[in-house]
Amino acid sequence: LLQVETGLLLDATALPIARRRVAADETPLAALVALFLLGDPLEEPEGHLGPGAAQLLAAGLAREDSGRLRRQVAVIPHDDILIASDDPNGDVGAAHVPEVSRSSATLGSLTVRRRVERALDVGTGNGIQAVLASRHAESVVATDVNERALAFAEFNCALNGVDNVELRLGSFLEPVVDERFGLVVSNPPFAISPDNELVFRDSGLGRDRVSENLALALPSVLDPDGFASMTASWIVEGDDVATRPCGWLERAACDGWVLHDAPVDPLTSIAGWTGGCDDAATDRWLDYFAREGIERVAYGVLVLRSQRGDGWTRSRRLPERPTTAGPHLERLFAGVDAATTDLAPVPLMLAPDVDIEQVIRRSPEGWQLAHARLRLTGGLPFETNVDDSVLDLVRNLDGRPLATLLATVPFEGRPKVIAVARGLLELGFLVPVE
Amino acid sequence: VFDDAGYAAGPIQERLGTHDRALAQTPDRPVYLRRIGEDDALAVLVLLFMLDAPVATDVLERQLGRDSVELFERIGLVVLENGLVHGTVRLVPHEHLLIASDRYTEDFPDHVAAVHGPSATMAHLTVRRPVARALDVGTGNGIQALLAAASADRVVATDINERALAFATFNATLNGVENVEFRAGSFFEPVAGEQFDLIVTNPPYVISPESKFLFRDSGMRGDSVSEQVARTLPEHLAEGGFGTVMLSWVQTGEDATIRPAGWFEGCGCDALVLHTGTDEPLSIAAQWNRDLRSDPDEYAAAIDRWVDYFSQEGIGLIAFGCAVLRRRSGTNWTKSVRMPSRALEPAGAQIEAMFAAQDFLAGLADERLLLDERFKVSERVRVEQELLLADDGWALRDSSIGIATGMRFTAGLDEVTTALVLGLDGTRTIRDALPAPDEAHSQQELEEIGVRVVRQMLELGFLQRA
Repeated sequence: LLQVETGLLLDATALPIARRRVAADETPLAALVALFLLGDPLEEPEGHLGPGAAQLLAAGLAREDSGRLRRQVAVIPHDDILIASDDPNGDVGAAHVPEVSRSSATLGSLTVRRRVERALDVGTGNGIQAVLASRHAESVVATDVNERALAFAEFNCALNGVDNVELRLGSFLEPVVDERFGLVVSNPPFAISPDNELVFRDSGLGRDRVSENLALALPSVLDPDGFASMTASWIVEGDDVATRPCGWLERAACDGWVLHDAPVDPLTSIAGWTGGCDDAATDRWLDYFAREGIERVAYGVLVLRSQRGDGWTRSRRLPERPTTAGPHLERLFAGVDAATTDLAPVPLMLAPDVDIEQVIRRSPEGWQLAHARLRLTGGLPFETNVDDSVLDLVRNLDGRPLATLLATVPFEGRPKVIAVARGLLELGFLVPVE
Repeated sequence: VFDDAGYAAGPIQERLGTHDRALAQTPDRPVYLRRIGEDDALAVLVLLFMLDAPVATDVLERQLGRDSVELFERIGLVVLENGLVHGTVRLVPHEHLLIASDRYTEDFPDHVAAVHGPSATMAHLTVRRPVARALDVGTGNGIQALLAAASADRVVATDINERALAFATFNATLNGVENVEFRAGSFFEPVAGEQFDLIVTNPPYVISPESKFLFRDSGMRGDSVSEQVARTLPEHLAEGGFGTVMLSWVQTGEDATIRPAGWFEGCGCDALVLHTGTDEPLSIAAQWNRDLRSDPDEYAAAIDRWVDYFSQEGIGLIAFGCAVLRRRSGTNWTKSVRMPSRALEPAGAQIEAMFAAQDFLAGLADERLLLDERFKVSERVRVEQELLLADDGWALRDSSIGIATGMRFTAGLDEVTTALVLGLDGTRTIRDALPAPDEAHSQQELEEIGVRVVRQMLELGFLQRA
């Protein structure tokens, strides 16, 4: 209907266009989009929605305003889930409950979705993560310090026919002390901010302490074989973007992956939270970053599990469009587990969702390989450049132990083969054969 | 001063962290202002001439030196007021040139627009061979005339807008270009009866209800400005000369380019019509009024005005593109090509190759004679293959061919065409490069495929004659 490809959160450029597309359409869908997504009043509600108009009023989703319908809340679809949240232009103040953000959607993709008895959503907000977890958990506990958020989460569970989520009021892990869960997810108020204004954005703890504290605390509520996923932002020091969150995972005695975006400078980070147009806020935040000596900031998701063996952490840039990556995440953990042992006896084969993209060019001597890369087609669509020798290796890995293959490689070439196989195993291009 | 400061597109974009060109007119301006600072010469020049922000006189003198500030003031690039220096123009670096134009905030009819996206498109689609006389019609800030001046003995540039001619003259001086003659007048009027070896024109082709800006709105109905320029250009082209004109037209029916192709019938020129894309009225209205975004009400009102106009005029679809013409006595050809979506690069040499290919194909008595010709794949071509692991090894899932520079055309390849492409090395004829007939394809079918595919690849510049 809207002819947009970049998601349903429309900016000032897209909004007037969307309005006209919707106005040109007579369907009930167009009426609902105008009302709940664009936030426009709906004339002649019965004409557009029939008895549905009265139901929206009865449910409290809309109110009447001189014959027109106005939204009480925004309602935005997320895959097959409908999520109600505060009107973005409303004036609720500190307790404002926002819609499903980009980071929340990424967290939803980067969660291990195996069946568990109990799942926990820390700081549930509008409840989207709890609803997602309810589908593969016997029961879910969702916490929030914001009562308004809990009310939204409760409503959204009902709206989506979910009845196995228990909501508890309290800060972070306080309502679940001494309990254990097979899955923990959290999209905390991770903004690095000088303010303590918005519950969903500002933790009030300063710097990146909220991300650090949560990463250190999560293992205390996690089953020994359970996985946790949390969004985070952190201060980047030095060349390696992920050094800091990897350190948190080590201190928390967890194995884990840090999947992150490219680091940004303070202005980019600040503009993302304040909209960039509020000059006073932008300057106040900039001063804070300068005072704290923060030069670069990164955003990402930490996926962690209690340490087995000596412990390990890995990091990688997030591909641009991660899709549902639960099985791929399990493969990443299994891959590093296998890669940190003696690889020689491990039978390896190429994962089923890998393809090769190669580009050949004409030269005076004939067609030549210009470049080649392995690509994962599902989950986290990682790519890695490879050369002829790696292509040969990959072709010959058919489930036999690596040692069999190494026997055919000259002695001096073996370390490289092992290193390449290890790298591909860790990223999920290769899988150990069970 | 500008060269010393590193005032060029790359460094400026890097400093501001953006590829956006409309720097002074976006909601992100406050971010850019903070990011650029005022700590060196590049920063203060960007503030004055890109972001339209004043700089304190003492800061400017410290960064540029007092002499430079005095020079800027003397030639009118800046004005001093209450201890602050204000830029009077926008200055956009384009390749080796520096082009002055009006600031965004100057909202009057004879506003002279800055170098923008279509200027670069136009420049990339111009054939650059040494010529005696070149013509730029509707020169605006003068960018196309100055680019043409590098490979022409003399350039004539026209504009109906005196302010534009003043800017263009200033820009010629600024860039040390001395072989451009500026003439005031509408379109081709100032060159009546004259012919040129190269013509470029980026006319006010936007189909719009407005006559607010001379650079954008011709004030003529529908696409008649494009039609008039397209029909007049050939008269001024000398034998063998090339002309490039940017166009917009009302698209009627399925065939996107039938309308502009009709404008060139009987004009004495071969015509290559390049179709960039087609949009519906709402997208066009939004795109050309982007500058109003910071005022949501005005933005919405402009969109309504434009959409209403399109609806009154019965305009359903609007197409954009460009035509390259070459005057040639004899029987002329017209060829239409859809432009690839991948970013355009300088394509003058490719356009010449496309003209040569059409000449060659037009001269063939029988298409099937192609089968005995020897071609080789251009070194600018890349074949991209997607391989999947199957039971018996790697299987080819998908294969495509693309040109790595210029107009970056791509096309899918199947088994037959892959074999053909990989076999074209200049020593084999097409017939010999075709795979052997099998159950799927008879020899005759293979030859038909060969003729069709080779023709297309030749037309787009994938192949060279051996």
